[in-house]
This record gives sequence, structure tokens and C-alpha cells, in this order.
Amino acid sequence: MIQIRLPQHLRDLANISGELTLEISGELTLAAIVNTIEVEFPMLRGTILNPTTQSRRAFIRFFADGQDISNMPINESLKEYIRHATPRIDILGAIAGG
Amino acid sequence: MTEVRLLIGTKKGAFIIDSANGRSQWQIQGPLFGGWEIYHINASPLNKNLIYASQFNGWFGQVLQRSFDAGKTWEAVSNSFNYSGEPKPHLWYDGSFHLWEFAKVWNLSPSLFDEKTVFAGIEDAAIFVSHDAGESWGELHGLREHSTAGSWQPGAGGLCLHTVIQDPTNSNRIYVGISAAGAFKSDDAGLNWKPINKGLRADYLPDDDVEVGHCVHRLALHRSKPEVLFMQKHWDVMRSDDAGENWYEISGNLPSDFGFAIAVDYNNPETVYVIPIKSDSEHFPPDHQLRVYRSQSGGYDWQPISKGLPQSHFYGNVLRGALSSDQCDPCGIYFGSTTGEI
Repeated sequence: MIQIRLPQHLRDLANISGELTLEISGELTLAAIVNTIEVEFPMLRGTILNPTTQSRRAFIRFFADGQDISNMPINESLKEYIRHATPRIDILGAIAGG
Repeated sequence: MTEVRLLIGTKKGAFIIDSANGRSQWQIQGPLFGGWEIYHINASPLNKNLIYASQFNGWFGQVLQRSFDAGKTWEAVSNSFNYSGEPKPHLWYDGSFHLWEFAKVWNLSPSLFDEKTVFAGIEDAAIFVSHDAGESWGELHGLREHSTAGSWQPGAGGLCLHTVIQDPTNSNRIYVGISAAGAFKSDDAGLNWKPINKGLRADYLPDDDVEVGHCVHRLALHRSKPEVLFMQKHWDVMRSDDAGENWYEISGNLPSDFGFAIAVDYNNPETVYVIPIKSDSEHFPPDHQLRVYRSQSGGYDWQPISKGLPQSHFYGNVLRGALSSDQCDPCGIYFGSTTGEI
């Protein structure tokens, strides 16, 4: 199980309050996390990774147990970044536009 | 009892405003999708409660929403717009080449003929169609595969297909407007397309009379005279009497013929409305006075309508999708400004 924190806009879109707890099957990777989110919440399809290029949207950052993993290849294992029994993945929207 | 419903997209969300009593009182629903830009919100002409909304955000990209109950509940439908075939280049701002790349949905036009069919005009410019009310999309790729497509170049807002108009008397005929390529027409339900820009002039290009490269801002027609098209171009207000084959200028006595929006009166095919903007570098009305101009003779002669509108220090703009008519008699004319007024 992992804990996932989504930006407010995406929580509103998916009608989620608070953090998500999801089971990820197989290797823990960014692709697996995003895919699991999109299966569970289809309205979030394409909002985190660009659906055409599968690249991270420019104003989104990823953190695994507090460490910035934004620039990791999305299919690479996150094992070495995990510190807790129930890892926490933060998906953050950049503060921009002020 | 006259019912009117306004569907309003803004940078801050969508609003649905209903009047059940002849436009004297209005009920406001919204903001829907607060914090998201709504590029277009539109209802099926065959089912007024079936509404689509193009929801966009610079952080999270494109979401498409659909409601079957007039906006009380919504569900996300497919936001997958995959161009057909291998990626091809178009011209970029600086004259270099840029591969076609999906950015956002500018236009959602439900079919006049089939309740589950809806067209989407997107950036980078292409037209898609769904026959299952937005559950899946396929490109009408004949447009983007037109021989001129490699020379299409974005306007300031991007290479966007912002206008889709179906001929109400001919389900095979569709018009689109692309900034800054021009107007195009299909007579076979979107399989094949041709530019219809003869008579347009582009003073900002080395060749004023090029086949494509025209910054068409908006097209409009009246259901009773579908062969007559009206166009607000970057500069110039234009008219065609032969389904876009030839255009002539009807700017006449307008104080400026730059603008974005154009609409035809619901009850009179020769009554046309525009909202002149000073210029492409100064996006506010001439003399800072917000005035709708109406021609009751199909163009050329225009009269300002300013009663009730701010006549000093108005610095907003009225963009291409923000002027429309209801279906009453006399019809109501509605517009929204970039400064937030309806």
C-alpha cells in the first residue's frame, strides 16, 4: 500500500478528500502509480502525465517519502527512495501564476 | 413561458444561467469546475440537457466533461485526441517547423443531426468527431492532410481550430475556422476539405492573397440562408454569398474592423452583430467605449448600440466565442468581456 497526496485541483476533479491509499501491483514506479490512479479515477486520465508523450507535465513534481523524484524515468523502480513501510508519494502542482 | 439558458465559459470556471420567465429573472449555477479554464461549453441542439465542456488548466492539461442533466451532474469523457498517421510538421512562429502536438480543445459542436455526434476543434489545428457522445474520438484527418497544412502557422493564441459550423440543411457540409490558416469547407461530412479564402486579404503577409495564412477569428451563418457566411477576420468583416467560395468586405462604416466575435440575429438572416476592437495591438474598443454594432442590411451599414454599456474607460475585449443570440423573438444578444461582465 502507498499513500498518495494529489494537488487540490485533481482532488476536486476526482471528488477525493484527503490522501489516497492505493495498492500498486508489481514494481513500484511512477508509471505504475499514475496508471493505478487513472484506473481508479478515470477523470484524472492525462492530467499528471502527458498522455501522448507519457512525460511529466511541466508544472507537476513527484516526491517519494520526501525525496524529489520528478526527473526519474517513469518506468524505473522507486525502491531505493522508499523509507517507510507505507511509502508516501506526493504529486504536487507548482506554485505559479502569482 | 420563454426559457433561455446561457452557457458561459470563463478562465475561472463555467456558469449555467437559466431564465424561465422571459429573461426578467436569472438563476445562476456555478462556478462549475472552479479554477479551470473552460474553453467552450455547448449543448446539443437536439437535447438541451446534454452539455459538453472543455476544461483546461495549464498544470493538468485537458479534461472533457459531459452532462446529461443540464449541468447538475458531470462525468469526464475521453480526452484522448490522437492524430492520425505519422506526426507531420507545420510552421512555427519563427518560420521553423514544429510537429503537430495536441494542446487543448477550443470548440465542441454537437451535431445538428445526430444526438450522440459531437465535433471537437483542437489545437494544434484538427477536427475530431465522436459518435458516442464523447466516449471516444477519431480525427477527420483529411483536413490536416490538406496539401497546404505544412504552411499553416499559429496565431497569437496558438494554431487553433476554433470554429465549427454545420450547414443546417446539409449534413455533409461543414465549415471550420483556423487561426492563422483560414476557413475550410467539407462537402462530404469531413472526409475531404478545401480552403475557402478567396477574397480575403492579409495585409500582414508578403502575399496579401495567399490561399492559406489568414487569421480568421470567427464564422457565422443563419439557418434560413446557410449559403451566406459572415466572418470576423483579424482585420476586416467579410461576407460570402456562395458558401465561402468568394468573400467580399462589409466593414463599411465600422470605427474599426478588427475584432473577434460575430453573430447573426436569430430571426433575421441579414441582421449581423460585431463588437469592434481598436486594433491587434490594443485589445479594447475604439475610444474605450463598449459598443455593439448592428447591421440590418447584411453588412456595410452599421449602427452602434451603446445604451446600457460603459461609455468611458472600458479596456476589456470580447473574444470570438463570447457573442451569441438566444432564440426568442426579438432575440436577446449576449456577450461576455475579458473583464468579466456578461
